[in-house]
Amino acid sequence: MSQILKLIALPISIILICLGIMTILGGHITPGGGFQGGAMIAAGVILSILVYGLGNSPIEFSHTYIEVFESIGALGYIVLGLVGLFAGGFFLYNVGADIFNIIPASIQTVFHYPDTTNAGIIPYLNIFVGLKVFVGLSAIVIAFAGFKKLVEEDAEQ
Amino acid sequence: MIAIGPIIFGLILGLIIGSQIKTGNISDTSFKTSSYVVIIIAALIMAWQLGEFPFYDYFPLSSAFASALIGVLLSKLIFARSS
Repeated sequence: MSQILKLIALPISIILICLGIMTILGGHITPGGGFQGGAMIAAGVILSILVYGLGNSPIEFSHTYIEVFESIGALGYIVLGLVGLFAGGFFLYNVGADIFNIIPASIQTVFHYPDTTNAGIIPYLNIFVGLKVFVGLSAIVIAFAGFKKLVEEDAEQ
Repeated sequence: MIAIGPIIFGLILGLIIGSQIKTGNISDTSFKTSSYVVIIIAALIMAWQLGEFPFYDYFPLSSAFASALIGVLLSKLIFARSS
């Protein structure tokens, strides 16, 4: 890839990642959400991998990293669903930030998003879905780039 | 009033992703401190143009975007400094 692309790809990737995080965090009141934000973060990672190539890319995830955050995303979603099941009677029931009325008001104001629609657990579901999607999509692209590299090496031999 | 939730979670997500940014991998282009200053200026202009986000946040800067940027750069400094 050209020098200009190599110079501009990392700053654009960082800004794309920040935009993706912003989309995840506003998912309960604006268009977008966990999947869309996660896909935007993955787009930043993919841009970096495409321009610099696998092995030279500044943003690259190890197998352990992918494994850990994919698991945290899935488990977090299930745990929030189970909290709804036990506290409200239905899987993914929106119990809000104040589970069983035991959380102090000072902590509630931090984790309870103060919008008029009372989002409850939706922002947290978005965060877990976003984590899972960004790691999953990045893993797919890293795998494809790795396969391509292997095929090219085979063709050379 | 500034909502603290998006700031905290923006920082956490930024810290998670920024820990994997390793500029030492790049072969023929170098990213020095001045490059990060340019990134910060560009991102702050972008945050300003994005406006109040989340919308119930009465602060003329996208706090979620700004905190994500701080998280990414902070994490790059802490976890991926040598590489």
